[in-house]
Amino acid sequence: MFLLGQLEIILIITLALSACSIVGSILVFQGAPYSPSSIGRISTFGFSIGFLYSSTLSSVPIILFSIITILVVQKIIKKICEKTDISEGVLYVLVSIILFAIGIVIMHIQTVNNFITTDKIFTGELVYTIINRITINGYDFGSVSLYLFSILLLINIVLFTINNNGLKMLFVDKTYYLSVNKNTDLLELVISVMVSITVASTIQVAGSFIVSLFILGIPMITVYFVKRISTLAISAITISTSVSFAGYSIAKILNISIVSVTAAIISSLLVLSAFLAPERGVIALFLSNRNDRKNIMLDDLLNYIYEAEQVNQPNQYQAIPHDISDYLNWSINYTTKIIKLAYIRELISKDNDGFLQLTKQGIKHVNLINNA
Amino acid sequence: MINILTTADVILVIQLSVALGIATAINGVIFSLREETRVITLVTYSSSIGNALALFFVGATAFYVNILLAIPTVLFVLAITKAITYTKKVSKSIVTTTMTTVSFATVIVLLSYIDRNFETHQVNFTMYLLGNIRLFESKEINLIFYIAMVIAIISIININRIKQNIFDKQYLVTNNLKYNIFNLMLIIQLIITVIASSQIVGIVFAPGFIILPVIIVKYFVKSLLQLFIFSSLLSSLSLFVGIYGSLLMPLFSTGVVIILTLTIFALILLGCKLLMNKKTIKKNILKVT
Repeated sequence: MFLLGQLEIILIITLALSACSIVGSILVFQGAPYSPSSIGRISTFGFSIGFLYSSTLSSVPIILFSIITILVVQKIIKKICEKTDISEGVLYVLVSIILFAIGIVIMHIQTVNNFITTDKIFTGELVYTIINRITINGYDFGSVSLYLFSILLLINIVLFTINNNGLKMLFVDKTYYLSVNKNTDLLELVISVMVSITVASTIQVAGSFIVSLFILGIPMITVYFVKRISTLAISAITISTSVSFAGYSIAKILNISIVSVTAAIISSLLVLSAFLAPERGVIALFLSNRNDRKNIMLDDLLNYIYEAEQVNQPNQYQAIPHDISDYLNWSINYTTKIIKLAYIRELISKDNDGFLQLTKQGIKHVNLINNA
Repeated sequence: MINILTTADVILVIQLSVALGIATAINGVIFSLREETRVITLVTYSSSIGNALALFFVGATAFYVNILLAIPTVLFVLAITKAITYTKKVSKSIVTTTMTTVSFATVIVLLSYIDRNFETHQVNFTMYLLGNIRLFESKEINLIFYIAMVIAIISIININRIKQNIFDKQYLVTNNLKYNIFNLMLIIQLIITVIASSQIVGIVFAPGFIILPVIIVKYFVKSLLQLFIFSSLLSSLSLFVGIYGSLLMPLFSTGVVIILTLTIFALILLGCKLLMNKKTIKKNILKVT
């Protein structure tokens, strides 16, 4: 029974992470004005009202009230934005904080005599998700959360597959999408529904704040390695499985909450992939930019030497490092570095008077640039 | 715990409300007008990592230890955020939101580790997240007041440079006023303000408490000075009413009461504005007819 419980927890977290990753893939590409953390706080309000009715997690009223709250608030915010000049992002932050405060007040009243404290709603505690179980004739069919997240994953996969082409079109070329489909309302509604269902369900596992990392974290890890949105969603699901196993194991060893460890693993992977990804990571990009800059400067240097040779202005500027640095407005150290690079590539050499001159290869390179 | 019936404590709460109100409002104005409201949230959550680290290493949540650990932590998180944004793979807002949640997750991991494994420290999650004035002694509140006052005074002295920072960055750059260093100073000022306010309001509500008054007051004023003054007034008033409200209602956390008070004030102000607008329209119609 104990082992089965462990497996159930790992399954729940894998299903939740996978469902979240699909929605996250869309949000990462779309760059929605609302952040999942604001949506998480907004849904806390609906969650608390649903909790007043049912007093149990993973119940229909909780999810229903949360979804309704999110959709209604989104609609109202859109209307306010159309009539005033407040930005959508700021409005989301403000409304979410106010609704969150009201939600906490309602929750405080409800949780006074309840085993679930408000802390758990913020920080998430997976253990509670396996308490509510489906039993028929005394036979245990597993926890309600297990079925809930399976259904959630299924809904997200179906909606994602149906709208895959539309989503691709919308992200790549919005104008083209509009010319074919008149407006983006339907697709935006689909995205809103997916976000609200996912947040409303996952908030019970991950808490009102970490839900945002569950949604955005894994797609952000994969975005540094893949190019297509469908590949992004599939690889995100694969990573989710490994992360949930690792999260559960580490949490057991360190005696910490499973959700927080899972979130910490996602965070570490995110930072690592952002920095170390082979082509698109921060370090790779920095090195490639530096190389590009060096190549451009090398071109400038070769052009300078070429002009000095062709135009022959030895009295004004000579092909020596000091004059090059003066003329091109570079520091003397940097000029020396670029000259060294040109030597290494065998593009320049020194003549008998100590002036720099282009080699055959150098002249070919300059001609190539000038012709281009 | 402070006693609401003694004159000394009443004066202390008034002083705290005024100083903290001014400090938060000034920071709110700066970062809201620069359209960096998400940065306030990121700074709040990442500074709370410093708070958790202080508890982890020192075993105490002394104010100065928090600040000492929070400043490098926040700067480190901001640097990582900037570096990830540099790749341009994901939008800036998504990166900021994710890094905010990453910071929060780190805090929760640290706090839950301390709570479950250190027998000597019991972590009060509600106090961290929602703030609770009832857990503070008069001495600690005094310290928060002094720090808030110092920030308020520094901001008032630097008001001209702040104006330039908001409206004319180019002026600062061309006049060699070391824009980056000044920006760093503003971030450090925000960190200290956030730590001071999150002790009372809680880390969850600190960003809202800083931004909300500015957004509301923006609709009623015409100059920057008016914005500073009226948002400070609104913050101070909601702090005072909120602190007293939470002392009278032990069931609710201070942060919740303060945010709800602020919301009520906001609704009243917006209602008044709507009524005034209607009256003006009616007057104009009468004039025309």
